[in-house]
Amino acid sequence: MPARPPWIDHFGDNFLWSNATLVIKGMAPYGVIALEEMDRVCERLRVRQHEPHAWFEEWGAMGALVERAAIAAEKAGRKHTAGDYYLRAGNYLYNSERFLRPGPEKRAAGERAFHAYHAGIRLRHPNIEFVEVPYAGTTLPALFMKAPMAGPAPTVVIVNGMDNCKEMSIFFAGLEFARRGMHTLAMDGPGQGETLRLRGMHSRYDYEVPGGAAFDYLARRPDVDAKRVAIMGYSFGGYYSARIAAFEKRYAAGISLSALHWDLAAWQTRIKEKNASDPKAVAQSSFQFQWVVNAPTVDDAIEVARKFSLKDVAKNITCPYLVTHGGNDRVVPVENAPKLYEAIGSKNKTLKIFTAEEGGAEHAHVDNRQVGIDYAADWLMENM
Amino acid sequence: MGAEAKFAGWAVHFPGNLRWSNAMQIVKGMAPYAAIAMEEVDRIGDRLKARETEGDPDTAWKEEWSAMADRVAKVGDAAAAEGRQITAGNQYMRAANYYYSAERFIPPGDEKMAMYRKALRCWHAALERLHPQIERVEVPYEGQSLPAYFLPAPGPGRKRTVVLFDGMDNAKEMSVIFAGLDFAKRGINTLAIDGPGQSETLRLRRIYSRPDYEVAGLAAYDYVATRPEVDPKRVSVMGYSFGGYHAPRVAGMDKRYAGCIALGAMHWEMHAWLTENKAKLDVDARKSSTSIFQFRWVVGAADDAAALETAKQFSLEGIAQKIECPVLILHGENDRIVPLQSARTLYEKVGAKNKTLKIFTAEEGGAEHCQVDNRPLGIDYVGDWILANT
Repeated sequence: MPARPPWIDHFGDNFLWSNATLVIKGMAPYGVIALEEMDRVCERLRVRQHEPHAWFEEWGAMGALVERAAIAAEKAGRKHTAGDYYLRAGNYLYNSERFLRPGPEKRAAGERAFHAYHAGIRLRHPNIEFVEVPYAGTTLPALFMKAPMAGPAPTVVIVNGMDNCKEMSIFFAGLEFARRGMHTLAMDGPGQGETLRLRGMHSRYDYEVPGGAAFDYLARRPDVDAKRVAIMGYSFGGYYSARIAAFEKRYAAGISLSALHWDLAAWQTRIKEKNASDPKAVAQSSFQFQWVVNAPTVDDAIEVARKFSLKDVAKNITCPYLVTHGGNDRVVPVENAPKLYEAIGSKNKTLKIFTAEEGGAEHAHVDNRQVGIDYAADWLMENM
Repeated sequence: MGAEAKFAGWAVHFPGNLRWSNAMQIVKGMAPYAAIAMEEVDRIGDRLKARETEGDPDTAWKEEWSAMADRVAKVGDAAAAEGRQITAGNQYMRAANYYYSAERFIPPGDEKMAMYRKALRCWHAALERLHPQIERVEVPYEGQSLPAYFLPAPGPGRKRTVVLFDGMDNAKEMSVIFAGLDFAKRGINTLAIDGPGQSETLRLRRIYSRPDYEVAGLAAYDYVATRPEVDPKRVSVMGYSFGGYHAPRVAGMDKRYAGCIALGAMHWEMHAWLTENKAKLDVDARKSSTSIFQFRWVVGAADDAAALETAKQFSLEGIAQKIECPVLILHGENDRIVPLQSARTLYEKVGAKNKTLKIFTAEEGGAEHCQVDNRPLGIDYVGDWILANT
């Protein structure tokens, strides 16, 4: 692993923490975190790297501090300020629960994080609508950011990665899409964000089911141009979006903002082994995939992972498709991206690898999100 | 070398080197507005760390910042040529801030002007693509004019307005982004202006600073009062850093202003500070936040001795007492440029009955100079205060 500057590897070779920190730092350009506050947390964590509960305690403490300021500002009628504080509190609280095992403590932290996120969005971003997407007899929570367009406009459906939530996507991607005249539907699909944490809905390999549900929802909205709806996923969502594009032909374009492991089962086996020997060298916590897919044991989860394969699926993709990847991706090695790219059946397909020189070379471009999203947005404007 | 050994913290990127750390922090402070990319800034920081012991630190600073700026501007140019205008705007915005940082320690002269022009070109290219609602205006001033941006709050009607002057090393292109965009969300118009001795006005028009800043304040008020979006009874004057002198001076002398905000008080005794600073610079340039030439250049003095004499006139003694409109003074508890005591002194001297001193503690954040470590905290506070007090 090459040495990277402190922005990228805040905790040196403690990749578990460095990666989780960078995911939240990457929200800096959208005013929804304060690097000064993050830095204070990280300085406290630096000396606590061997305490398993330190991560939850320190992020939780900063989340609570900022949340208190939000509540005070809201009570005083200073709603813009309250909104800023709630958004930051939301990101810190959401980050705090990352390594907590599923259970009441994790659920309580999740509830608190989403409450803060939602209060912040309501106070600060009136152009974001809270929507429920009908799905399998129930609904999936989503955020719809309306671009300032008069007639029906092109729209991007975003599904998250394994550890993220729609309250992140709506900012780092939605704001840039809106500037270009595209609406965004950021959805917590099964196994994601609020849907997993507060509604207990786990993931499925046949993601075209929620993908189709999202399309059905959008097709009923008069402000959406149903002929120009794209599907985009990032990180683990790079699997979902490709799977959806292959089976749900109503989507006009698709993006994997970083590909997922071509052989997920092999990768999860490797994670299992690494978690046993050197857990700090892994970005993913030991329980995460197992929880996301609701498998009773790690070995069952590895079996489930075999179904999360695009090997015989990607050839069915026929819409324009973009695969991006960071050249220095340490979560999903870059060689997975050309495998997906080559397997995609579309005539119009693009593979874009970001180098360290141009920035965005880390996993899903979290080190410089704007560079990745600018590319994706321009590609959509030109290909959808 | 692991990251832990290199890591120096958010506020102090270069330990023992206030000159670079402070300049770095000013750039980093633009992170919440997507006006810089921390990943790029960090790369520059890393290269600079390796060059910190070079004999001429200012050359290293210039080279590393301008190299990154050139690269990013080139990406902006390519995107613009291909019609990807928002991407171009984002790249130009970042390049502009890097060029302006590159320019910081270059002594006045052709090289400095050339670097500044690159920054300005990129800023203009960014603003017209990303924020078309921001209007470039000229404020008539003593037979010439001062360049400014007018950012109208959305919606009809006459609104509260802030006339916003920069600090000694900043630019209206920074203020309009870090303060103006947020004021607009609260229904407040912003005139972000490079006053005499500031940024474009100093660099391209050679109009120097002056102790009687009410002349510039008056010109700005006259200008905004002509605009149909402006409620002339609710215009505030605000300055940050060195502008923490300008705003109280203007409010003390021009009673048409309805509010006064010093986002960071200035040294109560400018002359004493500059004398001390000169002594520091003589020993080790890295211990001072400002360059040897900056104040002298800003006030257009022939030499250091003349500059020090001029500094005596930059005093709010007898002026602060005259302020009658509501006054807000913000200061960071850990301000390493202007000690907190200057804010307390200014607060005591202000004549207005309605006055507030807001000190940002390390616990709540924004404890550094002008809340540059966490800018939205300071601006949120100011925005709320304007709505409640003007």
